[in-house]
Amino acid sequence: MSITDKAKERAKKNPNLLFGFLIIFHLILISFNRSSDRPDLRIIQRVVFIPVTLLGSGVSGGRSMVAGLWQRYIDLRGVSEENRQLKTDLVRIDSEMVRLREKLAEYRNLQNLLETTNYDGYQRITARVVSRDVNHLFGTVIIDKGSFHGIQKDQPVVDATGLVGRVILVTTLSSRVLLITDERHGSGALITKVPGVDHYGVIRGIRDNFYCEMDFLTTPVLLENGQTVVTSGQDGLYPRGLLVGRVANPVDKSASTQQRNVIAPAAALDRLDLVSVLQVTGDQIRAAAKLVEAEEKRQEAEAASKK
Amino acid sequence: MEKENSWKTLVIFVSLLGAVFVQTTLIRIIPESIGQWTGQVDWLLLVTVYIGLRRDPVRAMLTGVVAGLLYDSMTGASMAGVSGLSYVLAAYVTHSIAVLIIVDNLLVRFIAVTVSTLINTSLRLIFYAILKLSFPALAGGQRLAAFFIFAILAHLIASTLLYIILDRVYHRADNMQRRRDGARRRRL
Repeated sequence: MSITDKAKERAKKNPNLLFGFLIIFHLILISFNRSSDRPDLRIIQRVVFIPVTLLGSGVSGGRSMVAGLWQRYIDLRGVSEENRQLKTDLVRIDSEMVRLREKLAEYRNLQNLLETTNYDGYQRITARVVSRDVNHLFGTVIIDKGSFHGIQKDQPVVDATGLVGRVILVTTLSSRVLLITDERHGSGALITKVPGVDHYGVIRGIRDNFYCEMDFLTTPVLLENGQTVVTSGQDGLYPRGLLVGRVANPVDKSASTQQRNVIAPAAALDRLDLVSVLQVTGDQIRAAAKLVEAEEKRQEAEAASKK
Repeated sequence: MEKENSWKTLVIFVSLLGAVFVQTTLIRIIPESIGQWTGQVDWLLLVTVYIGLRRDPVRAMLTGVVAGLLYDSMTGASMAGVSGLSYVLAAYVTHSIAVLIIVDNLLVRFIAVTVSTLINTSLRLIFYAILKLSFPALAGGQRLAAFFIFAILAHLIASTLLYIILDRVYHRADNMQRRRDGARRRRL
């Protein structure tokens, strides 16, 4: 059997190959025809032109799409970088804001300290409470100013709202302040005066802190709640007129508390921050107190003579 | 075997020449009223379909190629290759139908002729449109439908007549071949 016969046999069994070949042959033959309206173009040129145009536009569109996607990717990367930067900025701004809030609070404290208290023209040294005496719960505090700044022993310490205590120990750069609520403070014999009633007595700290009690009243009486307690200036420790606090007797007047006049300090002793140390000596205080007493007696005498 | 093939090829070639003669010459001498109908008939296609129905795909497709070349040479090769493509496609489809439906009767022939006519006409119209050649059937949908219907009817009628003749020719050719083969065997 010759090669031609073999090919014929194979083609008879499977005519698809021959069919495909003949179709391609005829398509090639057709592609050489020229159309009547464009004799300069073969049909293949016309037929190919359309897919090529479509392919070109597709490629162009695809390229634009890819370029767009790439640009978006670049933008997104930029956005991501910007986002990271913004987060960093946000953290920085947050911390800055916290710092500024602290500064603002400090500024307000200072302003209150300077504007709301009346210290009769005494010079003041502003100090910050840096430590509390843990051995004596809220009994003493340490401030960041000492003898180097002009602070001396027994000088009164106040804050924006009222009397805090007095300096009991001075070092070069810091001082210890005994709070008015400390039990030991009673030994200082603070004599106070209740305005309008003129009860004199002694203020001392009580064991459960945050409160004081007023003893040795000139007229033993149970004070009314809310009455203002100020320093009398007669003890030579505190100038006259410093706000100590208000009477805060327990409502339940049992036998144990009946004769006790409890004073709630005006100063927030549990959260002290900025305080002022008044630059005044014991002699100055006593002299001022005597002058005031003399003035009061003179006014009382005038009033009596008028009557 | 080789002589048998040559004999068959010769018969096919003669059939094709006869189809060309009918398609080009006979149409001019018959009355115009009948010529309008017979002008729709593609005799070369019918010969190709007939060969395809004889379940010889290679011969059928090659017949299609030759028929296409003859048609193109007749028409001045304004669409070279289109006829050949449609004839080859028709031959392949006819062979597929003949293989699928093993029974050889008039209905199978009608189906093959109808499908081949549709393929042939559709392909020609498509290439007419691509090559921007004028053709009345391309003017509108109604004309196009009428063209298809007339083409199918004309081919069915023509194929009925033609295939009777071709059956006789091929039957005679087969008988002659058998007689020759018998004589040869006796001589040996």
